[in-house]
Amino acid sequence: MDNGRRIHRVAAWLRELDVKVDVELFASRIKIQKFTYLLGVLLNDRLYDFGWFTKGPYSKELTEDYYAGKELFGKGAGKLNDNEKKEIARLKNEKMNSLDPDTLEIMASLYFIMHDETREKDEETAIKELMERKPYLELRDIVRGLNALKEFMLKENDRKKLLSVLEKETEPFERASLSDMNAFSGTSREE
Amino acid sequence: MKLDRECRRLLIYSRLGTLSQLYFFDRDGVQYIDLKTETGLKDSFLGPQLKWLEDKRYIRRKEESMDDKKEAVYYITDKGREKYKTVLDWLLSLPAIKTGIDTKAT
Repeated sequence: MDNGRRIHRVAAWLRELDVKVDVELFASRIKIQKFTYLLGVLLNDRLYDFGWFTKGPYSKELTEDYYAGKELFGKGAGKLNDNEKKEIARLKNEKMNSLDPDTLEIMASLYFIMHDETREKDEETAIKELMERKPYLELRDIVRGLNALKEFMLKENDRKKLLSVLEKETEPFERASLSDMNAFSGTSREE
Repeated sequence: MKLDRECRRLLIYSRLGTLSQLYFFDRDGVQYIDLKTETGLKDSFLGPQLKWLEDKRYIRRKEESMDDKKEAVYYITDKGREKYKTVLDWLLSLPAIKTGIDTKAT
C-alpha cells in the first residue's frame, strides 16, 4: 500500500473512532502513533513498521506521512470495511476513544514488549521490563494500562464467546439464587 | 575539515547525544522526562546541557498540553540540524573512520 493510502486509512480509523487530532500538538501526535499501532494489531492491518524508541513503539514513516497529510485528519478520508466499523464501534462503546496519551503509550509499550520483540513475554515480565525502560512510571498506571490493553484487544467475536461461557458457568448460581429469592418471598408472604 | 569551537563543545558531555535524540524525533519533539530516561543523565546534568543547547539556538523548548498538565517538550531547530550534520561530517572525515569504511567496502 502506498504512503498516501496508508495515511488515509489512519485518518479514517481515527475519524470513525471519534478521536480529534491536530498534528501540530504533541499530545495529538502521540495519539496518532499509538492508536495506529494498536488499531493495526487489533484490525490485523499493520500499515506501518514500528520500532522501539524513546516513547515506546514509534514509526518514523508514519511521522512523515502525518505531517504531509495533516489536512486529512477530521475529514472524510477513506472508507472502512464492516469488520473495522464493528471493532471501532465496540471501542467507542467502551470509551476507548477518550484514552489519554500516557495510557495509550503504556498500552502500546506493553503490547510491543510482549509480542513484537525477539520473543513472546508474559504480562509480569512485560511490566518489569517497562518499569526498567521507563522508571518514572507508576505501577498502578501500568496495571491500569494493561487492563485497558486487554479490553482494547478483546475482539467483538471473542467477547461474545467469553460472555456465553460466563453465562453458562454462572447459570446454576443464578438459578439457585432465583429459587432462593422465590422461597424467601414465599416465606415472607406466609408470615 | 576543521571543527569550530561550538562543534567541539557539542561533543563534550554528551551534548551530541542529546542532540541526536532530538534530531531523530525532529518535528515530533521529545519530552524532558523521556530525554532524561534515554540519555541516563541526572537533572543537574541534563538541565544545564539543554540550557546550553537552547542558548545556542540548536534546540527550542515548548510547553505542551498533555490533558490536564503541561509538559516541557524539546525540538531541534534548523540551526541545530545543520550543526549536527557538520559534526557528523567531521566525524566521518576522520582518517580512522574513513579507513574503516574503505576497508569494509573493499
